[in-house]
Amino acid sequence: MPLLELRGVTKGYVEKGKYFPVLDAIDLVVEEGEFVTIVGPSGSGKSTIIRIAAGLIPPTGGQVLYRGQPLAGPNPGAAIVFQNFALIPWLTVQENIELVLEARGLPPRQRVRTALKYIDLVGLDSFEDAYPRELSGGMKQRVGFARALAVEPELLLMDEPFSSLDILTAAGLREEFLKLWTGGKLSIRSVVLVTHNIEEAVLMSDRVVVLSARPSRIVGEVSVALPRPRDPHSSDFELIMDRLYALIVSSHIGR
Amino acid sequence: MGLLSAALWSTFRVFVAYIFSLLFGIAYGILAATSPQRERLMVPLLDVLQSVPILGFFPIAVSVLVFLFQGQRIGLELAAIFLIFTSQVWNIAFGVYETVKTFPQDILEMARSFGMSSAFVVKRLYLPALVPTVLYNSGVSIAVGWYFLMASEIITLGNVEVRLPGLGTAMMRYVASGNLPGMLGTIGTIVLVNFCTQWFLFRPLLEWSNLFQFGAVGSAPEEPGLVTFLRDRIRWNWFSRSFDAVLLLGERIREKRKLLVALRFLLLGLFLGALAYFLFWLLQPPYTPRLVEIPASLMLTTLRVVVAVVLSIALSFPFAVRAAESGGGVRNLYTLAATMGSVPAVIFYPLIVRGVGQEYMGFAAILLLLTGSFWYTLFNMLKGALMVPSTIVEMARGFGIRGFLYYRTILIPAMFPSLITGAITAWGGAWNASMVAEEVNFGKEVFSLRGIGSLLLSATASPRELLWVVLAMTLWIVAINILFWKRWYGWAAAKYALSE
Repeated sequence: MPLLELRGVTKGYVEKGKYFPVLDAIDLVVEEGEFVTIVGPSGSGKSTIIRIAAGLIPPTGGQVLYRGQPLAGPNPGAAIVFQNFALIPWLTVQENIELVLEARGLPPRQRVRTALKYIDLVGLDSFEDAYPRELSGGMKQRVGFARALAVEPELLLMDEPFSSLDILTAAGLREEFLKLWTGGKLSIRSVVLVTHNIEEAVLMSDRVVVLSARPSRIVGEVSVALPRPRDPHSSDFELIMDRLYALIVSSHIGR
Repeated sequence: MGLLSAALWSTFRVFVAYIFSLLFGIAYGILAATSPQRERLMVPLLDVLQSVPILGFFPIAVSVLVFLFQGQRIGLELAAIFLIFTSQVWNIAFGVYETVKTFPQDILEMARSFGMSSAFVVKRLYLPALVPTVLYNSGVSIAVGWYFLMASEIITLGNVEVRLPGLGTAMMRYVASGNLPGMLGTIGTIVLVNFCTQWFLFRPLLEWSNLFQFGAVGSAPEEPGLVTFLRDRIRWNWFSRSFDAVLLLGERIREKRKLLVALRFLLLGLFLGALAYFLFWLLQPPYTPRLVEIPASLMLTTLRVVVAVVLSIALSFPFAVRAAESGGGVRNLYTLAATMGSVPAVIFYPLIVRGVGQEYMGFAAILLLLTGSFWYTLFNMLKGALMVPSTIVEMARGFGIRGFLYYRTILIPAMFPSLITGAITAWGGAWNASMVAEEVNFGKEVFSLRGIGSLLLSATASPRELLWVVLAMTLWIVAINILFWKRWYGWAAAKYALSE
């Protein structure tokens, strides 16, 4: 059974009596064990898909199924990594992670143990007591990852998690995440990543879905059957990049 | 010795009122900001309550409380605390409302995605995020509370004058007997108490409050000893649990929908009935000369208030400019302003009026209104100046934008929304001061100025006339708020918003 299914999902908003469509009949199936990336131009509603999958906003039309069940309200099996980190400034690294565990009803001792475990996992040990404002962007996003992993979700939703980081930091963090993902130590069954960076998409995922500009449709997809770690300079990698480019360009010419 | 006990009594009143203001203001602000239904009712109500001259309602509150407690001292104490409370609370409530309304959307999204309940969000996200606003507005509130303390300790009931022990009463006694050392001692005590409050309590807390600011950078401020002390001593679990209990109670009540609807209709019916009777009683003849006098008096007072507000803005401006340019020095300026603002100018007023005489009392009155309004424009414009992004100031410096051009195109527009907020609150403050500015008793001499304040004082003997005056004044102020200030604020906030 697929983990997540979007069936004919549409989303739009009404302003001054006029309907503005954002998403136009999105069909997307995420199988268990799959890493799917959604690429598309900015403003194409990529983040909207993440929020619909997380159950934060209801779709205007269509159906969202999680493990075959229609989703009503926040998806308890999913956790999000946010582009702008969304950390609480008055809580330390450890407290930020403990906060979401407390919301999930974990007893105090277990909160501490779990928080420390994931702080360790993302390489932030000895920064437990630092406040977010004292951390660099890359370290803040490590907290973002640790927090999402700490609730031990089945589905990890990543909303442009590397976009606010500089190139080297982003590359390092990507690599580390892939190591964790392929290492099989995580609770996560599937990942949905949203990005406008095509190389990032090919580097990380099993399948890349291409979204058109607003109102967004899925214009096609490319599967990436390369073994990890992948070499961006290999000919196979470049071939897939070219195919993706062609798909994106054709979707632009089509309009 | 007398001064010490008077100071303790007065401080006690201000702080009891402040604690109630804090609890009520936070609850009101959060409730108003978290539901569109409540918002529609509570925000206009807040606007009205914030801009109505509290001193005008004081005689009514006193008679109710004295009646309830049958003239016992506790009733008078409660009346005094109530007056101080009403001068402090709306400022805090409004700050809380604004902060919750502008709470970062991405954090809320994070909270929902990790399954935090709304009670959890209030407790763990909203309340801490309120710390900077609440502390900032508390400094103002306490200063304003001292200002009104003076008026609250001497209570006139018909022909009887009751005096509560405190610095206000002490001051009046010294003024009446012309005891200059006594007067200076009292003023010195007030300044000292306020300086200590601001310097030892609010200054360190304000510095620490930067920790709770979204988007703040640099190393985290250290926790003041006071906070550590409170954190270790107080059983926060107990607070948390009683908070949950209150929420649960609210939930339970909300579940009983039928009962609630019935109750609402019952209350509405009672209210409408009472209102109809009240209007009938109010509107029936005879229309005494005092009622006919209302429009002209209202206009005269309005004129003085407008002059005071304009002067307040003009006087605050240089301070705000300095604050925007220096940034760091603002904390000191704030402490100084909060201390100075708490010196109740009302107590010098009789002396000044007697000095200038009846002829020039109009000028003295405007001066007094100024002391009731200047601090509001100053505090708000300082706050606005602090919020001007340093990148904009740097940009102006980098491109050599200086002098008049700099003020006209950058600084004034950037501070405009807070300038309007300052003007609105100053407008309320000046109205309040009007209630005491228009009539002065100095020993046996009486100085009086035509206006709504003196009219109100002369009407205290007749409940019907008193209500007429208070209601006319309230309606007038609210009408101007809606027709003038609200629109201007909406326009300024939309046009000069400092976001991209």
